Parts: sequence; C-alpha cells; structure tokens
Amino acid sequence: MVSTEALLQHLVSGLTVGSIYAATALGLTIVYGLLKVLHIAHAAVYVIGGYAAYIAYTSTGSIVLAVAAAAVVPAVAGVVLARILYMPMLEKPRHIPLMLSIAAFLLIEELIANIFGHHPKGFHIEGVPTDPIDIGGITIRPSSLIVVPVTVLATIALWVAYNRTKMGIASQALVQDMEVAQALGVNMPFIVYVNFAIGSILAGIAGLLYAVHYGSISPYMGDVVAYKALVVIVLGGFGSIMGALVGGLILGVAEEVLTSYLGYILPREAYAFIVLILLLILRPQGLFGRAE
Amino acid sequence: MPISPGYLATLSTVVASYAIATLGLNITMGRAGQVNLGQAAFVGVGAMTSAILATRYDLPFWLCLPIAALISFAIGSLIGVVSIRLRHDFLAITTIGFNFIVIYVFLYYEVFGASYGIAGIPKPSIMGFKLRGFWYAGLSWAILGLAALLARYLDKSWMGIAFESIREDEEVSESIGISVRKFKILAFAVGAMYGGIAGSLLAHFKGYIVYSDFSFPYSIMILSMSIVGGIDTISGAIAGSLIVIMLPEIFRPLMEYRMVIYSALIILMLFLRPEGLLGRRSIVLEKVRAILVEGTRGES
Amino acid sequence: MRSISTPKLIAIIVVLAIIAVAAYAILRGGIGGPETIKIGFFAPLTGPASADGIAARTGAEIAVEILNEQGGVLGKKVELVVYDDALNPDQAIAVSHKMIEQDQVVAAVSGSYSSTTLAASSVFDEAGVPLVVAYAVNPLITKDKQFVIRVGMVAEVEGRAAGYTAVNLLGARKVAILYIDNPYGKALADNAKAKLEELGAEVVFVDKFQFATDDFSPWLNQIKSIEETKGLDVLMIFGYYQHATAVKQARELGIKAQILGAEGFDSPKFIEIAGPAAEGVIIVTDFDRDSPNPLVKEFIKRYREKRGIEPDMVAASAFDAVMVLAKAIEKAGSLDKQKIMDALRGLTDYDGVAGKILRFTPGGNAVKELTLQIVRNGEFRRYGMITEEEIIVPSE
Repeated sequence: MVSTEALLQHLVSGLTVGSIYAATALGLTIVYGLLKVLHIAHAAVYVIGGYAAYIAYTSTGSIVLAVAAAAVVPAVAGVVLARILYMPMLEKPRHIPLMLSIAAFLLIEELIANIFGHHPKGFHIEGVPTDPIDIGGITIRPSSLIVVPVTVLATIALWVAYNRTKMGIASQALVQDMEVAQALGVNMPFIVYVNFAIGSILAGIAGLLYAVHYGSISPYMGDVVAYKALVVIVLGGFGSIMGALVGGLILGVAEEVLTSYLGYILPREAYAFIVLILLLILRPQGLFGRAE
Repeated sequence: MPISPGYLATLSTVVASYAIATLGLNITMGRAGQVNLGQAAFVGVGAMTSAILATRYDLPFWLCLPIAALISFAIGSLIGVVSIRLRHDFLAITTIGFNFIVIYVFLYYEVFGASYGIAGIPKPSIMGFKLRGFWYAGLSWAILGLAALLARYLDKSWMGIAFESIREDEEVSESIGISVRKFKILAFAVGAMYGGIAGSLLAHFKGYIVYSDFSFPYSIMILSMSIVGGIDTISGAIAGSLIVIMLPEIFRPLMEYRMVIYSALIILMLFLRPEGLLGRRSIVLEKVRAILVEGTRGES
Repeated sequence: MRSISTPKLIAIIVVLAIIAVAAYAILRGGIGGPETIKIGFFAPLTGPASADGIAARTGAEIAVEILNEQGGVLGKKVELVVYDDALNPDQAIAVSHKMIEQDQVVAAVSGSYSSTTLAASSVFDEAGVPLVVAYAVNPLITKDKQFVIRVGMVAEVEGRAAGYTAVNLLGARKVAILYIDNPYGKALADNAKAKLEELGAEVVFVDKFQFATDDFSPWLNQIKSIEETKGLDVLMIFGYYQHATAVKQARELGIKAQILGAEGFDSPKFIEIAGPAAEGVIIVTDFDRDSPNPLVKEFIKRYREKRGIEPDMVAASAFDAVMVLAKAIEKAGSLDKQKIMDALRGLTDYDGVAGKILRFTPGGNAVKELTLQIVRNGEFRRYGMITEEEIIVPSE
C-alpha cells in the first residue's frame, strides 16, 4: 500500500507542475473569453518570456531585470500577435485563427531555435536555494515554494482586476456581448490589447517559473505547455479565472499520480489528451464554465 | 541544383505518397468542411497496418495496401463519430489530440515496434521481380492516379454534393434531408482511407517506420500542402505536395528551416489566398483555365 | 462555352510537372568531381539534440582536417558531405537516400543517436554502402547487416559495464534504473539490469521516461520513498544531456544515492544544465580526458580552439569513425565498397581519441576499452578504466 508520505510527496510535486500549467492557462482563458480564439501561440509567448529572462539575467545578473524582461517582452509579443493574427480574422470561422495560431507558434519556436540555438540552455539563478526542504516527513524542492505561491497570488490579483476594476468590468462586458458593449462605449480594441498584454505577462512569468523549477530553457519548452494549457482551460471552463487555477492544479496532480502508478499504459502526455477529448465531447463547459 | 536519376525516383515517390494523403485531407476538410489537423495519424494507421502485415504475416504488398486502406477507413469513421457534435476549433483540437494519442499508442506497444520501430518492410514484387527505384515511383504515381480518379468520381456523386452542402451550412443541410451525421462520418472515413493508402506506400518505400514518423508536425506539413496547393481540388493536392517537398530540395539552404517554411506558408496563404494556388475558387486556376480554354477553342 | 474537363486538366498538370522536373534534373544532371573522396555524415544539427550533433560534426571535421594536412586518402582530399537529421528517423532515411543516390558517397559516418542511425542503417545496408557508426549503441544497428560497422560502444557492453561498476567498484547492493524510452535507453537498461542481477544486486526500481520529459518527480518521488524505506546505493539514469535536469531534481528532492550515467551524459551541456548537482556524478563512457595518448591531447586542443568549449564523447567518436574509415580505405587501396568493408572488419589496435579499439567482432562491433569519468569541480575527470575481456567483448 502506498504511504501517506508518498502520496503527499506526489501531491506537492503535482501542485508545482500544475501551477506552471495554471499560470500559462490564465492568460489563455482570458483571451478565449474575449475573442473566442484558442490562442495556441500563447505558448510561444511563454517561451519568449523564458528567453527574455535568460538574456536579461545572464547579461546583468539582476533578478529584478529578469522578472521585468519576462513581463515586458512577452506583453509586447502578445499584443503584436493579437493585432496581426486575430483582429483581422474575427469574422472567419474559428478554425482559421486557430490554424494561424498554431502556425505562428511553430514559426516563433523555430525562429528562437535558429537564433539562440536548438538545444536547451542551463539557466540557474543565484540566490534560489537548491537544498531540499523537509516539512513533516515530506521533502519539498525549494522552487515549489516559489512557483505555487506566485501562481496563486497571480490568480487572486487577476480575479480582483476582473471583478473590481473598471477595465475588468469592461472586459467582462465584451465577453458577454461584444456588439452591445461597444455600443455602450467600451473601447474594444484597446480592452482587447490590455487583456492580451496581461495574459502575456502571465505567460512570460510562467516561462520564468519554468526556468526556476527545471534549471533550463529550450526553444521547444512550449510544446508540452501548448496542449496542456488547452486541457486546463477546457477542464476549468473557458473564460473562468478560478477554473484555470483549479484546472491546472488538478491536471498537474492527476498527471503525477497517473504517471507514477499507471505509467505503463500510456505516457504522461497521452492522459492529458484523453481528458481533453472526453471533456470536449461530454462536458465542453468544464468545471466552472457556462454551457454555450 | 542538379538531381541524379536515382534520387529523383526517391523524391517522386515521396511526392506521390504525400499527394495522396493531402488529397484525403482535401476531401475531409476542403470539400466537406471538417477540420482535420491530424491527418498524419491516419497515414500512420495505414503504414503500421501494412508494415505489420508484411513483416509478421508475410502478406504481399498487394494485400497489405488494400487492408491498410480498409482499416484506415474504419478508424476514420470512428473519428467521424466522435466529430458529430464538434465543430471548428473544438473539432480541430480533437483531431490534434487524436494524432498525439495514436502515436503514443504506437510508442507504447510492441506490436507497433514501440520505440524501435518496424524494420525490414519489403518492396512489392511482381512474379519475383522487385519493384524498386523508378519502378516503385511509377507504382506510387499509378496509385495516385487511381486515387485521383476515385476522388473525382466521388465528388461528382451524391457524396460530393452532400459534402459541399454540409460545408456550407450544417443546419440547412439537415433540414433538406441530408444526414449530416452520416456524411461527417464518411468525410473522415474517406479522408482517412486516403491517408492510410499513402501510409502503406511510404512504409514499403522506406523499409523502416517508427511512431514519430506520424507525429503532429507531419500533420502540419500535410496541412501546408493542402493550403498552398489548393484545399479543395485534386490538382491542388498534387501541386501542394510537389511544392512543399521539392522547394527545400531545390534550394538547399531551405532544408534547415523546413518547419519555419511550413508555418510561414500556412500563415501567408491563409491571409492572401486561403483557397490555395489551385483551389476551386483560386485566381490562378481561373487564369490557367482561361488560357487553356482560349487554346482549345481554336478558331470557331 | 466549351471548357476543358477537370480530369484532362489534372492529367495535363501532372504530366507537365513530371516532365518539367525530369527535364530539369536530367539536363542538369551530373555529380561532383572525382578529385575528392566523399564521405557522408549525418547528425542532429537542429532540434533538441543539436548540441551533440554539432559536437559530432566538429569532431568529424577535425579528423578531415588532419587527414588532408597529411595528404588525404589514396592521394585525394577527403570531403565531408554533411546532412542534418534533426533527430528524426524519417529525415535520416531521406538524407541517407540523398547521400547514396545524389552525392554518391564512398561511405558514410553516423554522428547521430540510435533512433536515427537504426533507420539509416537499413538504407545503407540495402544499398551496399559502408556505414561507420560513431556512438549509437543499439545492437540492431549492426545486427545481421553486411555494411554497417560500429566504432563506439554497444549497449550490451555499456550496460554490463554500468552494472559491473555499480556492484564491484561502487559496492552497491540496491540499484534503481531510470531510462529513456528509446533504442538507446532500453538497450542500456536491459543489459545493466541483467548484469546487476547476475552479480547479486537488487534492482529496486525500473521505469522509463520520454525524450521530452522535463518533470521527473513522478519517478523521483517513488525513488526517494524507496531510498527512505528500503535503502538505495546507486541511481542509474540513462538519458541524454537534456535530462540533466533529472539530476538537479533528484538532489533537490534529497535523494542521496550515487548517480551513475552513461555516454548520453558525456557532454559539457550535461554539467551546464545540471548545475551544482552534477558534482560527483559518474558516467560510463569511452572518452578519457586524462588519457596519455598524444592524439587525445591534440584533439582536445583543436576542439577548444574551434568551439571554445570542452569536447565530449560524441565529438571524439565521430573523429575516430572518420579516422578508422580513412585507414580502411587506405588499406583497401580502392574505393570498392566491399573491399572497404573487409578492410574495416580486419582493423586492429587503433588507439583513438574515444578509447582504444582492440579489434572488431564478426558482427561489426568494436572491442574497446571503456573509461569511467566523474564530474569534479565542474569538469569530467578520469575515475577508472574498464578493460576486462569478459566485460568489453560484445557477444555479436
């Protein structure tokens, strides 16, 4: 029988990985709510965040600049993507922007590989502890104590922004009914770009969290996240901020447990896809979403 | 850049095979309007079927290919069933998920070679004469020709009309008596069957296949062939395959940037010419038609 | 208005296309000069394994440089025809066809991993063109093939050596194995496990991971749990430098066992990505940085000059592969592929950069000395050598 300690151990690891998924999915869910586009290229923004932080940190040695880079550069990238890819295609059937997004994701990934090198780079930030932390019989990797709180805080901050600020209410209005909201004076392009910027900042930070947790970055680090963030927003419900957090954490833990004990049936990634397809067929609104 | 005859045979075999796969995608997506971003999975199903039958059961190629086509048709209809309630982006994501799941199944189970793949897939032979090199290329093109004829026949039949109707508007189609359900399933089944035939051809050509040969990037490659060449025509599928495969061969430096090219082409074409160079409503085809019509009209 | 029917249109386009391409090809056909000896070379120059691919290519290039400085082979200059396989078996097959049919190489060297080399080996063997494998370990690459020979370690030997090292040199009684699910990892794990059990050690955990894995906690958590309850002496991780993060994660989770890796970890990238956790990791490989062989020192010097980083096993192996091939061509005295193959099989006592090759088995695998290297102060240094016949002679 599996001991409680072992299960708790798995739980902690799962929550950490799940937080990275959640942080990425937060941005994705905001964007989907607004434009009804599955912004796969969001994963490329995540990679850009990781690399921006890497460049900032290795040239200046400053963690603050690394964080800033991980926020600012992706924000710009996200807004640019929105402007070029999605705004002109709002009227087309929804698989067109999806294909554009996938193509853009692959394109950016390859460009990063060609410019910065195809292979992973070691990215260790001084000051981040590496010794295991013992709490009540379970060992926690120190990066877990950074990744999980940051994600939870980001979620709360986002929720507050959405429900307590003018910008947030305006965004929600656009989600409800784009035409009516605009008629009532909401500045659609501007609000959309603000949302993209915020979502992209979150993706960039998620990219930095990835580097902190794994000690490296690679041009292909977005591959896994691209599809998993999708699973998270389907699981949590499109457009739901809390859903993104809960969905991400559930996915992380489920993967950890399934891979540990049922890893011989299919690899880890397969479980995410199976969950995705089942959800799309049976309960597309996810846990917290509204049925369309 | 000069191409030697031996290598030309290799290239043309690959072009023909992928043209068949793209043709399948054109039927499912271009004609019937069902998004399919996982066509490579069906290529894989056909390839694996053919490979297993040939290496484990010593069945001749002439049996392997039709069986591979049938099995792909069956699996395609399964996806068709799954697709009934899904549309557009949700359908797209599901097909991507399907692609990934299929290759993970190939990776995890020994019968598909797991991570070692299946080696020793033999070339077909007629009365003891092995078909390799130019002979195999010729065979591939012959099968492409047959596939094209079949596609044209289906297109002119009730199936083609039903597909077009569904693509335009599913609700209206249902209301005028077209079973959307049945034709969605057929759309995937037929497209998958073409994919499977392509897979079988590729498997016997390469002699060695492994799970990663059918992964999502290959679906993107086939998609780019469709979008570039023409999403809803037979000639578009052939042109697309020709262009996407030959371009990096002729311009050697492009080799390293293949993924960049596929994705850039998709983006460009979706913006500029979403129906592809030789798609049904494309301007290029109009002009070519006009020229040829003027030509064949002669003095009258 | 009479319009041309679609089938006719299709036929016309298809025929035009074929004629155009064929005409172009035949009119411009013709292959390169007979003044050079063309040796094909493929490696993962792009994609996640590119650090190894580029390293291998550099090793091969250094060999070609040295050969040409000394007058070439059979009086002609050696030309390396390089292709990228992007670690994709399908692409490996495609470039193999290209090397054989288009460039018409005399022979080729694989600077790539087992998955791609396995795919390519079928093509070369069927075409009757010699393929010298630099470092891919999977046994099927050479098995039952007439035209494939391997200068690097074969999985059976490397796995056996790992088992032997764990029990006899590190005194392990309980061992865990974590391996990458591919022809390299599987082969190593199988052989290591067999040797461990033969020597009486207990294999307390075995599981596999995929190439793209970044989070190793599902397995490491279990391993940690085993270490705490049953005890663990050695953790074998059979992966590539990309999986150095597993070592980092293991140490951060508090796993204390000695970590033993194989040639996949033999790269400066491994040390870079694992960071301080790399300290003390031991690997089974064939490239001895502390070797007294002057060729090794020369190689290291030239490599550092070219790339500014330390050389590794893949570079050393690629170097040896090219050198061995050159020697065989000289010995054969001609470009006849069968003669070259025979000459290759008959080679003995090559003291190379990636270890000393004593001879080749009839199955085409090298009998060579292995070395154990340990990470000290961020560098690989010699920890020991393995030269016992019972370990290093492949069974095929």
